[in-house]
Amino acid sequence: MRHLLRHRWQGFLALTGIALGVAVILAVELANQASRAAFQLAAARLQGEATHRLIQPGGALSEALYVQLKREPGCPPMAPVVTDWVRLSGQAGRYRLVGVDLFAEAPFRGQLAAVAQQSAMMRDFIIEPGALVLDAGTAGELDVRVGDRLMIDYPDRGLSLRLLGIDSTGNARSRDLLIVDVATAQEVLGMPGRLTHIDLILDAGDESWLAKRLPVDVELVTVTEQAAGMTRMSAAFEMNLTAMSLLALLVGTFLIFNAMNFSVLQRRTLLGRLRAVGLTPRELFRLMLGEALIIGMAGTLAGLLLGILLSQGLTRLVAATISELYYHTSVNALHLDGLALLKAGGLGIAATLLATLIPARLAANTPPLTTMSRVVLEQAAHGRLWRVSGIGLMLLVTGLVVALVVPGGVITGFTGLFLLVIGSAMVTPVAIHGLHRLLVSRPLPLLWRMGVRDLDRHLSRLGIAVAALMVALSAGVGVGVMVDSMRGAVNTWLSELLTADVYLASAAHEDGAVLDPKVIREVSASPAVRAVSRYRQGGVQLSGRQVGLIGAHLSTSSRRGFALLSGDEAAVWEGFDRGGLLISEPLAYHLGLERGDLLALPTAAGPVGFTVSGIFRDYASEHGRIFMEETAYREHWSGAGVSSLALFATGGDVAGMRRALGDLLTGHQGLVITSAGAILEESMAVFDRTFRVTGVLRILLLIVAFIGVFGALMALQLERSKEYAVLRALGMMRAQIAALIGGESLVMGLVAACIAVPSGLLMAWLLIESVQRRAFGWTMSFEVQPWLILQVILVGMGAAVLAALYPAWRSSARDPAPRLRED
Amino acid sequence: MSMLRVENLRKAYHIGGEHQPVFDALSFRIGPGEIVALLGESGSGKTTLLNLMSGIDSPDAGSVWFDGISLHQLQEPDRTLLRRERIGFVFQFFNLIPTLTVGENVALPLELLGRKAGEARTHAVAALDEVGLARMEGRYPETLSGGEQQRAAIARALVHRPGVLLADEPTGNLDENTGRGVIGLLTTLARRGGTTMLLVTHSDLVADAADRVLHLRQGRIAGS
Repeated sequence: MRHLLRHRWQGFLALTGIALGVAVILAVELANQASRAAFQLAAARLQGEATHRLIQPGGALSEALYVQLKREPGCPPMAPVVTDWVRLSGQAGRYRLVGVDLFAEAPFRGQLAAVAQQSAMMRDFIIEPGALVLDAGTAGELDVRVGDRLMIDYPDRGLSLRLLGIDSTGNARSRDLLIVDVATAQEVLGMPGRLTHIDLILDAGDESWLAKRLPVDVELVTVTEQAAGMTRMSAAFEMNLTAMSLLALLVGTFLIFNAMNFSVLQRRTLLGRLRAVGLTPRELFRLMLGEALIIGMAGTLAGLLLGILLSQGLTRLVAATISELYYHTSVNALHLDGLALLKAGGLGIAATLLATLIPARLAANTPPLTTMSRVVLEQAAHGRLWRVSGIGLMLLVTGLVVALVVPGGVITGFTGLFLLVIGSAMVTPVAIHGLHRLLVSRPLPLLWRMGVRDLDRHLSRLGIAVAALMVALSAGVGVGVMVDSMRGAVNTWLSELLTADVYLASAAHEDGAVLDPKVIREVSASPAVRAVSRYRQGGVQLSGRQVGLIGAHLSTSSRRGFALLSGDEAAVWEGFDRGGLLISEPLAYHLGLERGDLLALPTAAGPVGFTVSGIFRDYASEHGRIFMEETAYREHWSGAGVSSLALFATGGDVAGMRRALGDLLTGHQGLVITSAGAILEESMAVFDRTFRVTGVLRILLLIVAFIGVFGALMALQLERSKEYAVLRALGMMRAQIAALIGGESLVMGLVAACIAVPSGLLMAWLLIESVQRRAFGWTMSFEVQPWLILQVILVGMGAAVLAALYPAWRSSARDPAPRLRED
Repeated sequence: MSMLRVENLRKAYHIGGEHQPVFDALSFRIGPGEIVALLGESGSGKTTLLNLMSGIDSPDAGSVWFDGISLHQLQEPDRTLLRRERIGFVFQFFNLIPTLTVGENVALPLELLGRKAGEARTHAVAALDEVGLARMEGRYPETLSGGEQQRAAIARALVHRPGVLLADEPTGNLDENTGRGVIGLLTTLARRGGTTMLLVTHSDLVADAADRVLHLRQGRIAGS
């Protein structure tokens, strides 16, 4: 310990290495949990104490059913709920409007009911149309006070709500919710006499009681089944964070390993002296591990604090993305999870001890004199080089096999990916050695010759830093190529799918609004419109997933937009027209369905089997989508109206059709006419926002790796200060010393980038072919942008040179005289 | 005419807030081609004096004249250039660069002077031959014995034919026999090349090989 206290730079670097490693692991984990928590909280807020829920697949329940059940003797506790997402005028994001019956609420969401009861006059809440209760946080964000009005942005049914009361109890269950009476919610959402669902608290025997009284088209589901569908909405988003978290873990561990390895290697002389004065190998080994434990604990503690700070920024970013993409959410960044702290802390200490284990064992087991020799250490490192590389290569191949061949879920995919990255990192040091072998006999200028030699001669110290930089750059390539490939696939898919000239929909179609049948008739009859496709948006629960069910009348042009994955195109559409299903690729993958299989869907008359007539490529939903011919759809789900129309212009005169539509639709409010190009643009903007967090994490990883290289160079410069002093004595200029260090770092960056490119491409391949496939059932072609590769190489070299600036300046500016006096 | 002239040189260190003078008005001269031994006990400031005379360190007061040039009036890059061109160094701990082969170590001063690598290598091989290390140019320093490393360091110090050779305890890390051989080699080569040499040592045996001996005691030259 005294050594590190006296050599503050070394102590600082060791502590910084551990702290940063732990901080990144914790920050990404907490941000990951925050996103998960945001989705779960949204589900749990409405869940309350309910155990079961009554729903009507593809539609809404009749309020009469609730009244009828409540009148029956022996009725279990039940509460009606009318809820959906709504937009507020002048506000970004969507908010959940919840209509509740205060008289039935107490057993279910006691706190929620209490909010309304405490904050407002209960009578006004029930009687006054548009009476609203908000929690203090949401009211503050919306900048409203009691008595203010909020406009619901819901075309055709626009309604203002009056803020009756503000709940200031800090009740998390009411956060981000617009709480209204059932009748108000029905009016706002256009669901008179209908309910979204009925919540139930069921005991043993209650299920059979209910089963006898339920109509065939009403389904009883457990709330966990429903919640699962909701939390899965974030799966793609979360998977990105998980991938980055794993990579952060790896880079962080490398950083810790690097710092501790350095700390032991630099004290080889001191350790040799201790052995020479009689310390046994076992005593020396224990001494070093004890010291590592103290440093590890101090560094880990600092890392946990830093990680909490870092996680706040990341969490805000995650919450902002969820708010933009899904709905408004407030995630508490300071919600600390004990398990996450334990995991990051444990990893910090374990990695510190593990990193000390190898050099400590090496130092303790060598005779006293050789312990002092750097040459022996480097020889030993070179001796291990091929063995380490061999193991690395094996891990790399094993990773590929596990991810691509071994059956299993996402975990298997990630395991393969992890093995691949570790394997690539272990192969990295041998690349430096290979470069040295390649260049050693070349007539390079003096400084370059020295630089390349130095790298090889200090492989035991620099190899790990280069490997950490390689992993960070590799993540940049891997995730970058995956995102690019996905972006390209989505773009191509949308461009092909959006065959119509314009699309007509209600402005609130995302919130379930449908088109007026009169509008549909008039538009379809217009001579400016050559062809029309109609879409009726519904949904069904299949194996715990909320699957989109679309009843569609598809024109020939619209049909051309479907990328069918199997079967003869004519036969597929023939099957579709006969009432068969077109199912999306993710759904086919998850349910193991093929063309010709039967798929049972819950209908008003109970489950009905439909033939899968075709499978199409689709990135619209990871849960899957089903297209069914409109006529067949209406036979089984009569309630749903037409959500949108795809219109094709007569003679290709799009401007003429737009003019005709303008004339036709005058007086109809809340309709949106959008071109395919605009939908594509908006969709791609949403895509880019989704992956913004990934971009930030990639930069964060790079910063950590940058600090790793900086630390390694600093430590090495401290160790080589005498060598630089000798070079200065022999007449080497300060600038030449700086160039030597900068050049070495540049080569380190180049080596890291050169390994990172193939390793990153392999990583991207696994992410696309294994992880994405296993998680979402998506397939996509591999798209590599040359600019991304060039960018990674430049970033690698740039980061390495930047990391060398201070060490180079420090080494060149140091007074050589005191160093020359040293032994 | 003197090759090296030290005038009223003062230097002190501040260690732990304490002022510790090393030299107090130190003055002496060394003529061209002269071999002078500077004798002094450990801690008397011998190495500090060598650093000041090569421009690596700066004095608190006084001056060092190198062939008529006031060394510490030069800018730092010019002092480095002067050291590169006209001074050779031999250190107690040899200080060969571990990442370079013996031949590359010896060629280093020539390459720093801008000579082509091939030409520098030819000169280095000849210099190694002169110090008895023929065919060792491809080996790395750590594979040589202490005596061999110091011979290689002598070859490096003289390969570019410097006007002045500064040797800091060149036998301090060698056994007596090897040390005697190294001193014999140093003085022979210096005399053959007409090189002025200041030999810092605490050994009377080494001092015997010099033309003149200076005694450094309590920061002053006590006699010669």
